[in-house]
Order: sequence, then structure tokens, then C-alpha cells
Amino acid sequence: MPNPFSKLLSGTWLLAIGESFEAVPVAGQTSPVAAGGTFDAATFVSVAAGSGGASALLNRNRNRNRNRNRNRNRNRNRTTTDAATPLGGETPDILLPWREIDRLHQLRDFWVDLPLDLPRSPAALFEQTQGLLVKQAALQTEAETIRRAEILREQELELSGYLRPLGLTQMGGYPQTVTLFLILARLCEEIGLRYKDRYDAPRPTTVNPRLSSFIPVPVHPSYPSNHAFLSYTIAFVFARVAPEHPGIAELFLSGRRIAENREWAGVHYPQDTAAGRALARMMTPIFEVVLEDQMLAAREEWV
Amino acid sequence: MTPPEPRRLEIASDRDRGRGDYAAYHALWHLAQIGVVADLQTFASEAWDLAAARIDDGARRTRVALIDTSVAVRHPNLSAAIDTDLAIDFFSSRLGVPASPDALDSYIKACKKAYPSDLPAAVGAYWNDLLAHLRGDAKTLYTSAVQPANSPNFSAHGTAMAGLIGARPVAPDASAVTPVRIFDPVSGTYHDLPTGQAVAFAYAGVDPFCQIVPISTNFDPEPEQLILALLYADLIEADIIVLARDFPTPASLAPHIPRTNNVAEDATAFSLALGVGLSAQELSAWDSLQHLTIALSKRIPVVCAAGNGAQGSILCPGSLAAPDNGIIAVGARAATGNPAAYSPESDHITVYAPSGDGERLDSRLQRLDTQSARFNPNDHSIAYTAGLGNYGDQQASNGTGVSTHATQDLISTDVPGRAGYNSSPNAQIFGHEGAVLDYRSAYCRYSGTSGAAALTAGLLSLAMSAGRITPGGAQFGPAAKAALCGTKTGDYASAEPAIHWKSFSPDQDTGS
Repeated sequence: MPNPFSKLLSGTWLLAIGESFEAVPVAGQTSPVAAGGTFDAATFVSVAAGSGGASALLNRNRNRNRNRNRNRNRNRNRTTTDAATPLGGETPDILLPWREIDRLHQLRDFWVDLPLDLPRSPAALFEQTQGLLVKQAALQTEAETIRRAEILREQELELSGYLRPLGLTQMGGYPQTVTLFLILARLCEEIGLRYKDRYDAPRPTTVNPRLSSFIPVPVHPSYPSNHAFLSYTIAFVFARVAPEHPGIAELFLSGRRIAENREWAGVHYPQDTAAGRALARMMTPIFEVVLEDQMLAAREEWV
Repeated sequence: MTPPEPRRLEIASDRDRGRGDYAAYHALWHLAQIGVVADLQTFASEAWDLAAARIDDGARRTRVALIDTSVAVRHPNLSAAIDTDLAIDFFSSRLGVPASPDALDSYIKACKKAYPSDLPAAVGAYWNDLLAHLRGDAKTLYTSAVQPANSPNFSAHGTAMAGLIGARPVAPDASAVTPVRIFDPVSGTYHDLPTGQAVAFAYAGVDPFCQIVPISTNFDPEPEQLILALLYADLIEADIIVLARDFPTPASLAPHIPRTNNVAEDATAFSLALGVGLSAQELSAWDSLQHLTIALSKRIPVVCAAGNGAQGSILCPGSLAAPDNGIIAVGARAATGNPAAYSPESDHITVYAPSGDGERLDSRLQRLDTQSARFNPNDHSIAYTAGLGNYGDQQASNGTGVSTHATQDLISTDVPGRAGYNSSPNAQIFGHEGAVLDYRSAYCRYSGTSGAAALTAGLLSLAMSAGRITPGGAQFGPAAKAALCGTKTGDYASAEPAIHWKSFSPDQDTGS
């Protein structure tokens, strides 16, 4: 039985030409295809002149348009939320991402009541502080010198833990990716505070006074961990932006370490880290719609 | 008489730079190379004829489980190929978010499949969780709040994979190229430029008869979502599993850590190496994932990309390929017939399939794209300019012809519009009344061993659709693999065995 596809394909050639493609009607010409499927360029030009000429012209325009379009997007974003040039390792700042906040709130019904597990009972939390006591003691050893420095550095928003796995040891050159991470930090803070307020869970140092935190205990409630939430959000969202990037696994591991460092510092239980991770995972479908433009702009820096 | 050139300052070697004058080529060159179509003129295909006849007789379509990113399911070439009833997303939720909750609900309710006895007992609990979730829990008010992470804008990889496997050409009445319309202000009328009736979407996958089920995952290095994705593929009775992504196991992230018989001690060692608190339970789940993959592959071929780093080793799970299982590690073979520059330098590759090439300049391989505008022989090496293939390094080894860079990439379906690998100034490719504004952004150049794995999966799927191999047996995985490889074993230098339709011809001696 003849299949329905061969005839269709034999009537139009879809050709790869330079950076783009051209669908060329065949109209009974003999094939200029050499062995291996390569068209001889000279033959093709003579075939296309009569039939595909006008659209070949459009094709060239298209490539120019593409580049112009990219530049235009960059310029447009620069006037609103583009990251300012960072000075000496400081975290760059952006204007308030009002458009993204507005879009987030248009989807409010999809994120205000996500199915997060309830926090554990006080008795179970006390149990989790036993592991934190072990970490507290270990933190003072020689082996954890680097971790102590990390904990101090990570008290404030600090992007190097997210940029290093992607190969960005200097922030220059990837402004849209940096801007994306800064917008996520702003949105995650708001969403995280909302969930923290709902559960109003006590910090580990309140549940077990034997635990003394390595850094000042934040004033807001414990569950879920916003450090875990933001770290995993950056990793999950970047995994949508550029899943082809070979540094994705390391980005997750680096984010996981930043989240776990808060347990070592004595300000979070393992349950808070797990909840931040779960919330980040469930929020990704929201972010990929809310931040579509910024995520595509970031993707264009990588692909 | 030629007039003398006007005076201007020039650097002589700039004239030797690459000019980028690549020959045009047919987007479906790979289909001819693997013997699915007889040529790129008639596109005659014995395999497609056989498959069309079997579908006409009411045969079930070959079901391909694509464990990858999400897919742009409304792409004109893909909408008929993708099964959106069974599609599921494991990105945003542990037990999965169905793309069509009601359709999947009725499928699962009708499904009487028990936990398969040939799978490891350790993952039985995951199967029960998954089934309970899909049989009702997924539709409760609480869990149904979670949305799938499947925006087409961030689905480029899965879309290109799906296209190579099973894209359908779209008939001309549905997709003729919109003519260029010119407005004449004097008469106040429009004139259309003649277009010659090109079909906008004249593209086909290897098996345009199959049914592709997108099973999307995230890239968090944790084993549970991959265990659940594989179990789901078995639950919906997939005939073949495509895994172009790797398993980021602790052992592959920290290969220098030796494994012992003590999981707890190993977890501690990996925790130190990776800088995070890896539990023994997590490490056991990674081990279970590998056992599950091997066990499942005996019934269902698992087609894996070998990796794009030109490493000496193969990415997991392709690294688990063995003669007694159905795991297939696919390497990339450039249009020249050489292994692609990025394909792993390993003789443990199961099969090679066509893909695009890459550039390298190191002691093992010297292959540059000399047509590229970036290429200036003067910048590279005087020895190169003098015609020495090894760039003057006497230690460097290179065989005859290996230096030639292949200019053909694989072409596949791309997310239409701005997103994807091939961007467009148009946010949508369709204008009002179905006018095709920019069909070009519906295609992209796509390479890597991912693309090669997609072609291999497509060819196996086609062999099933055409009735040349029959899925379902307890040892179907190794048998399908043996048919694909024939008598040849993996050889990096010759990029063999290369996949070809003739491996499935009825009189083929598959080796004994």
C-alpha cells in the first residue's frame, strides 16, 4: 500500500540554506542531489530563481530581522530592569520588576495555595534539632573552614553560588541571565514570606535552646526556607531556560549546599529545606509564564 | 579591460578567510542516509508503505516514550504525532501532572496492569504511589492545583527530538506558503507575488506512523523522578523508551569515588566529594534506578545519547549497555562517515546514527570548519597554510580524510516563533485565517548524540510499525538491539555499526 507521505515530500524540498530554511516547489525537475544529500549550490540557485526568488529574498530579510530583534529587546529591557554593572563582586541591583509582579498576581489563584506538607509537630522538630547539634559542633572544626565563610557570605543575596556552576566567574556578558536571577529573588521573597506567615513555625533555636546559631536568627518564621526556595527556583527555572547547559547538575548541587548551609548555621531544620525545594518545583510552571520574556532573553544568551 | 582597483588598505590574509558559502542541502538528508527513503527525489519508502498498510489494517501505533523536556505539542508537524492523552509532566510534581487529567484518568481506570515481576522489588513502592496518584489522588482539589511545567516556549529540546522521531508532513491545502502581498496605493488593490505552491511543512520524522508520549522531567540530580518516569513508560505499555538526557548519578558526578558494599559509607564519601548531604537512602535510590533501567530494557529497548564531550567514557545510562540488556548507547556519525568531533571516543558505543559535526583542534583530532567566516588560516598555523593536516605537531595523529568537517547538521522541528533554537521576529507563525507568516522558524539545526539517539529510536519504531520486529517479548530489548547492530561490534574509528533500514529486511542475516 503506498504511504501518504512520499508524494508530499517529493513535491516540495525543505532546504537548509545558510542560517535558514526554504521550502522550494519541485515541479518535476530532476534532482540535483549528489550522494550524501548535498545540493550543489550553483544548481540550486538556478532552480530557485524562477520559483522561489521572492521568498528567497524574504529569507535574507528574515535573518537581518532576527538580529535586529535581539538588539531591540536588549535595549528595551535595559531601560527597565536590566542589572546594573556589578562593582567588585557586589550584587547588582535592578529597578522594581513591577511588570513581573503584576503578572505574578494575575496568576494568584495558581500559587497561593500549593500543596506543601504541613510542618512537623514540636516533638518531631525537637528531634530534628539533634542532627543540627551535630552539625553545630562539626562547623567549628578545621574541615568546615570554607563552609563558615560561605554561611557568612550567604546571609545576604549573593549570586556567585548560582553563577559559578554556569561558568560565569565574572558577571559581564550575561546581563539577562543575571537580571532573571535578581527578579526571581524579588518574587521568591514575597511568595516565601506568605507561606512562612501561614505556618508560623518556630526557628530551631526556639525549639531547642541548647542550639546556638552561627549567625543572627532572621525575624521571620522558619518554614519553608527562603534560601532553599530561591536556590532551587533559580536551578529549576534555569533548567527550563537552557536544559542543554552541562552545568545544570552542579547548579542544583551548589543551590543545595547553600540551602543546607542554613541548617549548619542552626537557623533551619531539614524540613524547611525540603519544603523550599518542593515549593520551588511547584512554582516553576508559574514562573515560566510570568517571566516568559525575561527567560527567553536569558536563553538567547546561551543558545 | 578591467579598471584598476581603487586604492585601499588591506591585510592580505583576509582574502583567505572562510566565506561561509556552504552548499544548500535537503533537510531530510539523514532519511536517505539511513535507507528509510530510497532517494531525496521520489521519497519512495518500502518501510513507510509497509507501515501504512498495517495501520490501514488496524494495527496499534508504535508507542514511543520520550523522557525529555516538554514538547511544543501544537507544532504543525507534531500535533498528529503527540499523544496528549497520555503525556505527563514529572518536572513540577513528584508523582506527575497529567497533560489531560480526564483522559489519563479513564486510561488508568481501564488499565489492569499489576507490578511487573521482572522489575526490582525495591521500586515496587514507587509503582504503588504512582498508581494511587493516577487513579484518583491526582484529581483531588489539593494536588490538582499544581500545574505542569510544559510551556512550549521552553520545550526546544523535546520538540526537536519528537520531530526527528515521528514528525508528519502536512498536506498542501493545510499549509501552502502565504504569497507575498503588495499593496498598490494607486489602484487601492493588493497583488500577490507567485510562490509556486510550496508546501510550508514538508518535513517528516523517521517513523511518521508512531505515537509519541512526552514524559517530561526536571534536571534536579535526584533519582525518584527518573524511577517514576520509567515506571510510567512501562505502565502505559511503551514499545520503546528514548533517553537523550543523562542520569546525574553521584558516581558520574564524582567518578573517582570507589563503590564498596557499604551504602552508608559510600554516601558519606560522596557527600564530601559533592559538598552536599547525600543520604544512604538517596544513594540506594540511585542504585535502584540503574537496576530498574537494566531490567526494563530487557522488554523495552532504551535508546540513550552517548554524550557530547568527546570523552573516553559514555554517559549514564548509555554506559550500562551490555549484550544481555536492551540499553542502546548511540554515537554521532557526521555526513562524511567519520565519528562526529564531539562523539565519545569509545568502542563501547552500541550504534552510530547521522548527526551534525563539530570542530576540534587537539592532539587526537584536528578538524576545523575552514568555510566558516571565523576561520583565517593565517591565524591558525603556518603549517596549516602549507597544507600539513597535523598543523605542524609531529606528535599529533590523524587518519586520512578525518580532518574534513561535515557541514550538514540534522534538521528538526523547532518551537515556532521567538522561542526555540531558531528565533523569529514573529511571536506566532500563523497570522489571521491560518496564513503562514514564518514557517522557517518551525525548523532548526539540531545535532549532538541526542539527535542521533532520536533517529535510532525512530528507526526501531519504524521497524515495529512496519512489522519487521514485534515488541512485547521478555527479551525483546536485546533482540531489537541485535537486529539493529547486525554482526558488527562498536568501532570508534569507522563509526560502525551505523544504523540502516536494511538491518530489518526479512532476508537479513542478523548474525549467529
